[in-house]
Amino acid sequence: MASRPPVIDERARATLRRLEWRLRGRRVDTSLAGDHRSIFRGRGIEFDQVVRFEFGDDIREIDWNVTARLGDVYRKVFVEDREINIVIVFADSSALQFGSGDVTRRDVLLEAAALVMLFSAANRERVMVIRQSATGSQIFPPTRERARILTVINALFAATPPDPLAAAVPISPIVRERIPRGALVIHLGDVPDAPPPAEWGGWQRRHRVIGIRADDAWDRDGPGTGPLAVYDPVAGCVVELEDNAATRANHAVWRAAREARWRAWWSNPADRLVIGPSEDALAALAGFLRARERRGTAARS
Amino acid sequence: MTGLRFDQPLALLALLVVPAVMLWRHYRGRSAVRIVPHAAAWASAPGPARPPWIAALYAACVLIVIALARPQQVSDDQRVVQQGYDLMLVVDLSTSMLSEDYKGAKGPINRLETIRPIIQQFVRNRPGDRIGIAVFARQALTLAPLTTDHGWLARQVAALQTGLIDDGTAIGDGVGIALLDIAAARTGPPPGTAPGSAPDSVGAFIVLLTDGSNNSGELTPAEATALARYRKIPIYTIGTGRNGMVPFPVFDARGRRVGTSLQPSTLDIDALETIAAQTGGRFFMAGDTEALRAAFAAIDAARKAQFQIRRSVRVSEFFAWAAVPALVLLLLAAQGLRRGTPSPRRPAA
Repeated sequence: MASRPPVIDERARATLRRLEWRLRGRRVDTSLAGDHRSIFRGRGIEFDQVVRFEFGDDIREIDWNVTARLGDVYRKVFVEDREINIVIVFADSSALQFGSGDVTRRDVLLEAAALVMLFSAANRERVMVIRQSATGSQIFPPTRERARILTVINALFAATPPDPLAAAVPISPIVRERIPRGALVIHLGDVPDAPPPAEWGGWQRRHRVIGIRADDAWDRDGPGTGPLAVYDPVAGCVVELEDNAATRANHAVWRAAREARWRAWWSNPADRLVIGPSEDALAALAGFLRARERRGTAARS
Repeated sequence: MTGLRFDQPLALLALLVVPAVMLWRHYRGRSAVRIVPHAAAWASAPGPARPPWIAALYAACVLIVIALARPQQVSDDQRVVQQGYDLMLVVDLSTSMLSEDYKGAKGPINRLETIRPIIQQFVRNRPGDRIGIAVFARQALTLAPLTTDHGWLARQVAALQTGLIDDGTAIGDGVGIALLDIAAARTGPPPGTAPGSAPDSVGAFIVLLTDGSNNSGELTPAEATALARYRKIPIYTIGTGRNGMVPFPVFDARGRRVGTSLQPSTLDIDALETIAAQTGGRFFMAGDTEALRAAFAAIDAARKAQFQIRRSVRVSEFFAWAAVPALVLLLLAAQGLRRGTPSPRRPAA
C-alpha cells in the first residue's frame, strides 16, 4: 500500500523549510551529533564508572557504597543509550498566547519543539508528542520516520490555539498518558502556577524531564507602559496596567515567585532551559545541548 | 373606577430611549483589549469596571420618565344619577306598511324601510332613555321591553318586518301593550337588569306609528287613549304614508314579487289626532321621509330629559415618589461622574 503524502499546512511548511535550512546552515548533523547517535543525554542503564559528585549532579546517581568507602561523595556514570525515546510534551495553555514583540511565547515554543523533533529525525530517534490543552491531550504515537515526524510538526503548528477567553485550566507537567519507560521527556510550556506536587519527585525518578519555557520582554522587565486595559486569561479578568512603582513592585514579586516555582519544578539547571526575549530558539537550544554535553563529558572525565 | 393610572401615558414611550442608549453604548463601547497573561498579578489597580454611576443614571432616567407620565391613584366615587324617559315605540307591522309611497335614494321604498333607519337614529339620540318596542297588526305584542341596551334595541329594529303577525291593525291593543310594558317597568326592574341600576324615570311617553285605521284587537283606540290619559302618559302619533291610492307590491304564491298595483290607503287621521290631543301628545303627518324625520326630531326635542351626573373622583398624585429618587440618583451619578473624570495634570516644573 502506497503511503499517502502528509498534508502539510502552508504556514507549517514554511516554518519547517526555514528551520531545516537553519539546521543545515549550522551543520547540526555533524557538530552536535558527535560520536553518539543521540544528541540528548538520557540516563543509560550500562554502568561506566564512578566520579566525584559535584554541585548540580543528580543525587539519584550517588553511589552510596563508594561514598561510604572513600569518605567523599561519588556518583555513578552510565553509558548513554545509543537510541532513546523522546517524549515532547507541549503544554498549549492560553498563557502562551502573548508576545509584546513580533512572536508569541507559543510561536517560540512551537519552533523549539519543531527543532527538537528535527534533531531527533536527523538522529533517527523515536519521537512521541503529547499536546496538552484545556480540552484534553492530543497524542502522536512514537515514530522515527522523518515523514511522520514532519506530519506531526505540521499538526502541532496547525493546532488551534486555546481560546484565551475560555476559563483557564491548569496543566500539570506530569503526563498521565503512557509513555515509553526511561524516555527523555521535554516539557515545553509556561511555568506551572502551582508548586510541584509530591508525586513529581517519583515521576522525575522514572523519567528524565527537561523543562523549556519562553520568556517575553514583559515577563522579564514588566510592561513599562500604561495606562493600558488588558485581559488576563489566567485570572480571567480585565485589569488596568499602569507604568508606576506599584506595578513594577508587583511585577518583581511575581517574577521572583515564578522563578522560584520554575526552580522547584526543575531543580537541576541542566534540566531547564529559558528562551529569553529576542533570543533565537535554535541558538538557545544548541547552547543548552552543548552545555549538557560538556557536563556529561566533564562527568565522565 | 379605582386603580393606578398614568395621566400622560404617552410619556412612557420615552422609556424606549433608555434601552436604545444602553444598546448604543454596548456596541459603541466595544474596543480591542490586549491579552496579557498574568497581568492581574502585575496590576496595581483593578480593572476598569463598569462605573456604578451609569446604572444610577439609567435608573434616574427611568424614574424621570415615570414621573413625567404622572402616576396617579384614582379613587372614583362616581355616583351617576341618570334620569331619562321611559318610551315605547308602537310600530304598525300590517301589510299596508309595504306600500311604496316613500322615495328613497334609489327609487320608491316602502313605509317600513323608511321608518327603520329613522327609528334607529331616534334611539341613538336618546342614550339616557329606556326604550321599548311594541308591534301590532291583528294582535299586539312586545318586541323589546324597556331597556337601556340600545345596541340590542337597534338590532331589534333592524329585524322589523311585516308578516310576523296576522294582518290587521290593532291600534288600541298596541297602545295597551305599550302601557302595560311601561307599568311593568316602573313596578320592578326589567329582566336582566340589576336592581337599582335602572335609570330613574322622569316620565314616560309613547310614540305610535301607523298607516291605517283600527280594525282589530280587543281595545279600541278610545279605550287605550283613556287608559293612557289615566296614567298620564302622552302619546305621540305619527301617520305614515299618504291617503288615497298608493303603489303596493304584488307577490306570487311563492312570495316572489311579480309587480306593483295601486291600492287604497286609509289612514285614520282623526283617530290619531284624538289620541294625541287627549293624552297631551302631538300628531304628525309624515307623508314623506323628511316629514317623518322631522316628526321624530320634534318628539325628540319635546321630550328631552336632563341628566345629572355627579362624579367624585379623588386623584392621588405619585409624581414625587418617582421624582425624588430620580433627583437623588442624578446627584449620585453626577458625583460619580466627577470622580470618574480624571483631572488635568499639573505640568511638571
